[in-house]
Amino acid sequence: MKELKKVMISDLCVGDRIVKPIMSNNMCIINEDTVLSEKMISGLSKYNVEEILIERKIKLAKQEVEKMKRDLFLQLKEQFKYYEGDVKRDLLIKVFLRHLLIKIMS
Amino acid sequence: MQVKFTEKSRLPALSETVNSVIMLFNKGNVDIKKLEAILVKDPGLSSQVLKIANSPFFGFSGKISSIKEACMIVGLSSIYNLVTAIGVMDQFQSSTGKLNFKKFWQHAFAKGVATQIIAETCNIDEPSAFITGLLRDVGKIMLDTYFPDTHEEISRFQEEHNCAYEKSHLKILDKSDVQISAHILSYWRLPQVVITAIEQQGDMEKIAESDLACALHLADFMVKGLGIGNNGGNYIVNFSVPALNAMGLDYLKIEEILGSVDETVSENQFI
Repeated sequence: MKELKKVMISDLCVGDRIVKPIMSNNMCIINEDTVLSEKMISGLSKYNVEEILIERKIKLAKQEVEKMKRDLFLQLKEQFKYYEGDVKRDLLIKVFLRHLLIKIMS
Repeated sequence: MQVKFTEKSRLPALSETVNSVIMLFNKGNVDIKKLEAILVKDPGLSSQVLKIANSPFFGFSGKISSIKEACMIVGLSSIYNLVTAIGVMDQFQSSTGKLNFKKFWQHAFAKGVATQIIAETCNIDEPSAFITGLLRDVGKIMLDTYFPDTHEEISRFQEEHNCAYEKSHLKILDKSDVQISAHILSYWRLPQVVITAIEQQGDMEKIAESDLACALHLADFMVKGLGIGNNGGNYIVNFSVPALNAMGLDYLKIEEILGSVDETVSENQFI
C-alpha cells in the first residue's frame, strides 16, 4: 500500500476518486503552498478535516486555472474568428482574458 | 432580395406618447410641465419610468414618486433616454424570428452602459450616449421581427459561407446592419447625433470624425468580448486603433472600463 503520509494534495488529481481513499485514513498532508480546488475542499470536508482547511487560503488549483484559461482563450478565439482588423487578434484577446479570469476567480 | 425599408407602412411605429416626447425634445427648450402632461396620459409608461428612475442605476432608490420629481432629480436627458428606451423595447418583445429577445436586450443594455461609461471616462459631454449604445443594433431586431424571412436568409448565407453577420447582411441587403438601424432611428426622428454615430461607427475610415462613434465602436467591442447577452452576431470583426487613440485610451484603461461595465450591468438587471 502506498505510504499515505507522504502524499501531497498538490500531487493529486481533482475529485473524490483519489481524495477519498487517502482521506479515509486521515493521513493526508497538505503543505503550505498547496492550492485547493473547490471540488477538493468539498471532498476533504466530508472527512472532518475542516480544521486543516481553515488555515489554508482557499484558491483554485493551478491546473484548474490553466484549464479555465485555455477554455476562455478558445471561447474568445471563436468570437474573433472573423476578425479582420490591423491589431493582432491575440493582443485583443489578452485584454479580455485577464479580466474574465479575475472575474471567475474572485 | 428586394426589401423595401423605405416603405413607412412596413416599419414599426412608436407609441403616441413616445413620439410626442421625442418631438418635444426635438424642438429644444423642454418645458417640464409639458413633458409631465404627455407622460401622465400613459400610466404604464410613467410607472416604468418611475421604476427605473428609482433603481440603483440612478442612485435614488425609492425617493422619486412623480414624473415631475423624476425630471428634476434624474434630469431631462435621462428621462428622454428612458422613455425612448422603453418605447423601443416595447415594440420588440415577442419573438417571431431567430433572435432570443431577452439576450438581445441584455446585450443592447450592456452596450448602452458601456457607451455611457466610455463617454464619461473620456469627458465626452453627450447625453445621448446610453441611447446610442442601446439602439445600435435595433435594425437587427426590426429585421427579425418584421422581416423574418430576410433575416433567415442572412443567417443562412452566414452559415453557408462561414462569414461574419455583417458581411452576410451586406451581401443580402446591400446595406449594413448599422445602416438599417440608422434608417429606422431616422424614421422615429431620434437625434441626428445618435444616427450619425451609429452610421459612422460602422465605417472604419470615418469613425474618428465622431467622438460618440468612437465610444460606440469600443463599447461594441467590449460587450461582445465580455459575452453579455447576444445580438445574433457576437463576433468581433474589427477594432479601430484610430477610435482608441481619439478617445485617449490605451489597453490598460480598456481593462478598467471592462470592470465598470461588467459591474454596472450585473447590478442593474432591468431586462
